[in-house]
Amino acid sequence: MSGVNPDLQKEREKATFQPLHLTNILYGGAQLVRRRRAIENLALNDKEAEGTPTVFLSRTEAYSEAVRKAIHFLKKQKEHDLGDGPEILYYKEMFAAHENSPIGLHGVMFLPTILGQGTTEQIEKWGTMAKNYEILGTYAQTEMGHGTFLRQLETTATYDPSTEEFILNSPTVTSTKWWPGNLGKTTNCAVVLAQLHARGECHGVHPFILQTRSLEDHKSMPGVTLGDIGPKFGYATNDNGFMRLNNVRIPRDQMLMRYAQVSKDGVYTRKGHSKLTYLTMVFVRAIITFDCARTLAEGCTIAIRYSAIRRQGEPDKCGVEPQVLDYQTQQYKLLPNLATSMALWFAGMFMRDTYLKISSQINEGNIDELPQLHALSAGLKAYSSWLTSSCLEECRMACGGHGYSHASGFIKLYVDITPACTYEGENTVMMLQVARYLMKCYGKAQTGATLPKMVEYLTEKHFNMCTISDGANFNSIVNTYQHRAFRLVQEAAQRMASLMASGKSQEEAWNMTSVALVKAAYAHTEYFVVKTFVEVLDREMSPEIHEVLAQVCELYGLHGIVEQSGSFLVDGFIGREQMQQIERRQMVLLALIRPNAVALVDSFDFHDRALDSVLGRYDGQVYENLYKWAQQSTLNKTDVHESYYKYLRPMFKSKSTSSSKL
Amino acid sequence: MATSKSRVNPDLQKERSTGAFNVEQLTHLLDGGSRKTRRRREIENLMFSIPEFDDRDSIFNSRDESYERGIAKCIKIKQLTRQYRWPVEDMHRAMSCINQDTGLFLHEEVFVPTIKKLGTDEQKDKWLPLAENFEVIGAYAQTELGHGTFLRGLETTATYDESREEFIIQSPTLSARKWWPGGLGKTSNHVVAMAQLITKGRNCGMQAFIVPIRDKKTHLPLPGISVGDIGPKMGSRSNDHGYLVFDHVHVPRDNMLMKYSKVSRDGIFSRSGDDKMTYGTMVQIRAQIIGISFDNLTKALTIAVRYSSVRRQSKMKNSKPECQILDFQTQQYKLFPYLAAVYAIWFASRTLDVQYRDFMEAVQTSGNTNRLPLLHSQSSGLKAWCTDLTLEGIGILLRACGGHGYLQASGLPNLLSNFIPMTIVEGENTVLYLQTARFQVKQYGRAVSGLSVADQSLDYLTQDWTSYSCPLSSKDQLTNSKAAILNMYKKRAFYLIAKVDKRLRSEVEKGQSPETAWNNCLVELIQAAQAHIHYYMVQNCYTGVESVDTTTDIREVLLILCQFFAIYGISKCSGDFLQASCLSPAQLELVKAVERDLLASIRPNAVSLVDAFDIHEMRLNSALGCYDGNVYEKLVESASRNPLNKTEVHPSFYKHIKPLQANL
Repeated sequence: MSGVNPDLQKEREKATFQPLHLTNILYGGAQLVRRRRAIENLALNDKEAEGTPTVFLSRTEAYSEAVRKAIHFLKKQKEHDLGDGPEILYYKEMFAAHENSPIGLHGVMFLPTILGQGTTEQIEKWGTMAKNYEILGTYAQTEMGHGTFLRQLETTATYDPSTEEFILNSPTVTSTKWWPGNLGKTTNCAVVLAQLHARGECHGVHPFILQTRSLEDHKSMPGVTLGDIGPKFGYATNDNGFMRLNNVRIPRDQMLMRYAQVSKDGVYTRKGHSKLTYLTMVFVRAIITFDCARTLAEGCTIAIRYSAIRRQGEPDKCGVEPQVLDYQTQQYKLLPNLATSMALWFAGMFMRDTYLKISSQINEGNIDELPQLHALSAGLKAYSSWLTSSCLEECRMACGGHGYSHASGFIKLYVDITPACTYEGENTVMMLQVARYLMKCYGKAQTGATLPKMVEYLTEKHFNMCTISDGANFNSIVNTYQHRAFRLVQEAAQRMASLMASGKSQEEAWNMTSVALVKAAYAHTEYFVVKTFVEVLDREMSPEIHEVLAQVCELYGLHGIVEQSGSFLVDGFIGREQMQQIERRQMVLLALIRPNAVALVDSFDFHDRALDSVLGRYDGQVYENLYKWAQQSTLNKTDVHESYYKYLRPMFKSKSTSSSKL
Repeated sequence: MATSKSRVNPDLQKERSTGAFNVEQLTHLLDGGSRKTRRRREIENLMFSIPEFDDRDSIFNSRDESYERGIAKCIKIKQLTRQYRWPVEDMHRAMSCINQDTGLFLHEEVFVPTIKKLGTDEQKDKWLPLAENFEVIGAYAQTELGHGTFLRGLETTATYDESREEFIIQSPTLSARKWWPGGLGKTSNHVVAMAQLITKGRNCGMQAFIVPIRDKKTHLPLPGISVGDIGPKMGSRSNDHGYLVFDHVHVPRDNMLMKYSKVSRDGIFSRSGDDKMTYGTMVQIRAQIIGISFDNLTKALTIAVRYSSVRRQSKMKNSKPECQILDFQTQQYKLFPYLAAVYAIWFASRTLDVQYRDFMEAVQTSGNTNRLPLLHSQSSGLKAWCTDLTLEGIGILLRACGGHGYLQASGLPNLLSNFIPMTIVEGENTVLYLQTARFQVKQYGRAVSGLSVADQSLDYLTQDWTSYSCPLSSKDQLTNSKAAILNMYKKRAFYLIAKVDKRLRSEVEKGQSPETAWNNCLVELIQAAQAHIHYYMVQNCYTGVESVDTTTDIREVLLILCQFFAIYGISKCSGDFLQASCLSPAQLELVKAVERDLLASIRPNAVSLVDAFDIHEMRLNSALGCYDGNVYEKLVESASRNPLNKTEVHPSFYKHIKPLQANL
C-alpha cells in the first residue's frame, strides 16, 4: 500500500505556508538545505551501512554493529569528502540516528584535547597519529566517586625524576575511572585526567596521554584494567568504560604541556590558563542545546503527525471519529512543545553563531565576552535539557499505548537526550554557576559599575507592570520575562545578604538560598530564550511565514507565563484579570496554530530514515507498518517459543488429554 | 568478589542514629501490623533463597532470556503456592518479589477473573478447572491497533451463524488487529476476545468470547489465527505483549460469556441483570494501581535518599571534607517533595481500600450502588494524580543520582521504564481526569441550585468563598493551621470549577453544542479536576496522620511530612492559589519560608523514613540503594558480572577496528 494517509494529506493542503520556506530559515538558508538533502540522498544508496535496528539486538550485537557502522562512516566521509560537523552527522543519521558512537569521542574529545593542550611537538606526534587513526582515543575524566567536582578527582600521576616518568595510579575504589565513553572495549589510548604530584607536592588535575591497549592485539597494557560498566538507560552502542591503573609508567612528555610543564628534574611551572577550555565548553554546550532542540522537534513531528491520523472518540453525525489532534487537551500537550522546540532551535543557532564570532575575537586576544557567554551556555544547556526531557515525555504520553513501543521512536530519543541533564555538568550545578555570575553582576551594578549587554537589565528595575494585552505584543512579553528575572535575582541577592548579616558564612548562606538561586538562573535563561525567539521575527521572511512563526513565538511566551503564573502574579506585575486574559489568548493561539501544525513539523524536514519512527512516518501509514515492524521481534523468530517446552508444557496437569483441540 | 560481612558506610550509619522515631514500628504501620510484617519477611526470605528469583544478572539478559525467566518465575510461584497451600495474600506477597512484568500473571489476574465475572455457572465449571491446571492459558484481548481508550470504537466482530450455532470471529480491518494484550504473543493458548456482537444483522455491542488461539498440544497457532509479539517497548521486556488477527475463526455459541448477555440458539440477543459490578472492579483495580505507585516510588526514594547520604561531592569550605549531597538544599528540594508525597499516596490508597470495601458491603447487603459515581470519580482522579506524580518522581530521582543513576545497576532505569504503562493502563490519565471533572461539574451544578452534594469531601462546593481571605500572618501559624491550609486548597478548587463552569455555559450561550463547549474547555476541566484531587490528597493526609494508630514520635514525623506536602503544593502551584486569592503575595513568601524550614526538619529523618519501607535488598536490586551503603563496591561487583567483560578483547575489534588502518 502506498500513498499518503488522507487525513495527513488534508492537513498539508490546508496549511497557510510553504514548509520549505520555513525549513530554509531553520537550517540557515536554501543552499544548506539542498546540501543536507544531497547528503541524505547519498546515504540512501549506501546499502552497506544498513543493518538490523539496534533495538532487536542483544547488547553485544548492538555494540558490534555500531562499531561496524562507525568504521564504515569514516570510509564514507573520506570518499564523499563530508565535513566533520553537521555534514557527517546528516549522513550518519540515516542509519544510526540517536545511537551513541563507540568511536565518537576520538574526534570530539581526544583529538581536540591534544590540539588544545599539547605542545607543538606533542601535536606533531600524537595529533598526527590520531588524525590518521593509527591510534584511537578517548577522554578519561569522570571517576566513580567524582563527576561534577573535578578538583577532587583521585587518580594520581606522580613524577619520578630518576626515570623521567609519571607513575599513574588508582589509589582507591572511588578513583576508578568510570563512565568515559568508548573506554571499555574500543579505544587504545586515552587522555587521562589525574592529580599531578611532583617533588612531593600536588599541583592539581592535569591531562596525560596514556596508551591503554596494545596496538597489536588490543589487549590491555600491563597495569591497566579495563572493562565496560554495564547496561545503562540507553547508550547500548557505547562501551562506557572503567579503568584502574596500577603503577603504570609513562614518559614525561606524555603530560600535555602547553599550559603547565614538569621539567626533567621535576620542577612544576604554569604558563597561564587555557581560555580555550572555556570556549570548548561553550561550544559543547551550544551543541547540546541544539541537540535538544532537534530531538524535541523530532518528538513533536512524531506526535503531531500521529495525532493527525489517529482517530478516537465519540463519532460525529457521519459516524466518523475525531482526529485526536482536534481535542483541546491534545493541542495543549503538543503545540506548546512545538513552540518550545522552535525556541530552543533558535537559541541553539544563536549560541553556535556567537561561538563562531567570539572564537575569532579570542584569537585576537579579546576575551571580554567570555564570562557572560560561559554563563549563558551553562544556563541554556540546563534549561534546554530539562525542558526537552520533560516535553518529550509529554509528547510520548500524548501518543497513548503505541507511544511506548520502540516502534514509536520516542524511547530512542528519550534515552539519548535525558542524560544531557547530567553530562557536561549536572544541570543544578550549571544553574548555580549561572546564579554565581548573576549575583556577581548584580553586586557590581549596586556599586554603579556598568554591566555586559546580556545582563545590563540587572542594573535597576525597569518596569512596574506588565503591558501584555489582547493580541500579539512581543515587547511586552520580553519585558515581562526580563522583569521576573530581575526580581528573582534581586530577591536571591537580598536573601543572601540578610543571611550573612545574621551571621551565616557565605557558603552557608549560599546553600540556604540555593533553591531561589536556581530559580533566578532559570528565569534569566528563559528571558534570553524568549528574547532570542522574538528577535528572529525581525528577520526578513515572507508574510505567511511571519504570521505563523509569530503565533508560535507568542504561544511560547504566553505558555511559559501561564505555566509559571505564580512567579508573575506574586509581586502584582501581572494582575489576576490580566492573567485570565493571557490564558484565554493562549487558547486562541492553540486554535490558530492547529491548522498549520503538520506543516510546521514538516518544516523540520526530518527524513523518515532519520526520524526512524513508525508513528511519525511522513506518509502516515502507521498501522500496517507497525505490523511489519513487529515481525522483527526476536520472540517471533519461532512460532512456538522454547520456553513453552521448558516451562509451560510440563505444567499441564493432565497430560492424558490426547486431543490437541478443546 | 568476596561478600564478607560488610561494614555499613559510616555516613549512612550516622544518618540512622539521627532518626527521631522507631523505624521498625513505622514498618509495622505500613504493613498493617507486625504480624503482616513478619509474614512478608518470611515469604521474602523463602523466595530469595530460590535461585529463580535472584535478579542480580537480570540487567544483562536479552529480551528472550527476560521473557523466559519471567515464565519460569511464575511457574515457580504456582508450584510454591500449591506446595505451601498459600492463601491469596501470600501468593501476592510472593508475586511482589518479582521485579518483572510477566504475561503469565495476566492469566491469573485478568483472564480467570473475567470468566468468573462474566461467565455463567456452566461456563465457570467448564473453563476454570482447565485454567487452574494451565491447560488453558489465557490472555485478555481487548485493545486494538486503532483503539485503546474508546472501547466502543473497537472493530473486531463476532457474527452469529444460526445454521451452525457458531460465532465467526473476524478482524475486518488493519486497525482491528488486537494489539498490546499482555501474555498474548507467545504464552497464551486462549483469549477472552472483546468483539462487536452481530446477530440477525444487528450490532449488539461489545461482548466477551473465549477463543482458542494455539493448539493445546503443539502450541502452534490454530487455523485462521496469526499471533505474535509486538516487539520491544519501554520496560516490560519480559512480557510478550501480542498481536492477534482473526480470519474467520469459528467458536461454538457457548464460548460467548453469557452471564449478563445472551444469544439464543436461533440468534436472539437478550440482556439479563446488571453489570454495575464491573465498575466496582474498576475501582478496585485503580486502588491496586495506586498501591503500585506507592511501591515503585518507595523503591526509587530508598535508592535516591540512601545514595544521597553516601555520595559526597563538592566542598562548601575548602578546609572541610566534601559534603554529603543530601545536605544541599537543592538536593533536598528534589527528594523530599516525593518523600512527603509517597506517604500521602499511602494514606490515599488506604482510604480508597476502605471505601471500596464499604461500597461492596453496601451492595451485597442492600444492593445499594448510590456511591458508585462518587467512588468512580474519585478513584479515576486519584489513579491519574498518583501515577503522574510517581512517574515524574522516579524521573527526577533518577536524575538526582547524577551519572550513576543512569546505570541499570542503580535499578532506577528499570523502575522508570516499567512504571510508564501505569499512566495509560486502566484508563489513560487525561481521560480519567475528565471523568472526575464531569462528576465535579455535576456536583457543582447541584450545589449552585441548593441541592446536596455526594460526599463531605465536596462540601466546599456549597460554601461561599468570595469573601474568604487567609488569616495567617506568621510562619508558626502557617505551619500549624490545618484548617486555614485546607481552606486555601478548597478555595482554589472551588475557583477553578466555578471558572470552567462559567466558561462552559458561556460557550453554550454562544451557540456551541454541549460537546463542542466541552472540548473547548478541556484544559481547564483537567485543571479543576487536578485541583480537587490535590485538595483531597492533602485533606486525606491530614486526617490520616491524625487518626492513624501509632506512637507519638511517628505521628510527629508523619505530620511534618504532611505539612510539607501541603505547603510544597501551594508553593508549586502558587499561580493558581494567587489567582484564586487564596493567599496574598506576602503570605506566599511565608509559605516559601516555611517550606525551607520543613526541608531542614525532614533532613535528619530522611534515611529512617526510607528504611521504614523495608524493601528487601534482592527486591530493590540496586547498587546505589543498598542498605549498607557500600555503593562503589557494589558497582564494581556489578561490572565484573557484565558479559561484555567476559573476553578481554571484544570480537568486533578483529572484525572492524583492526582492518581500520588498512582501509583508510
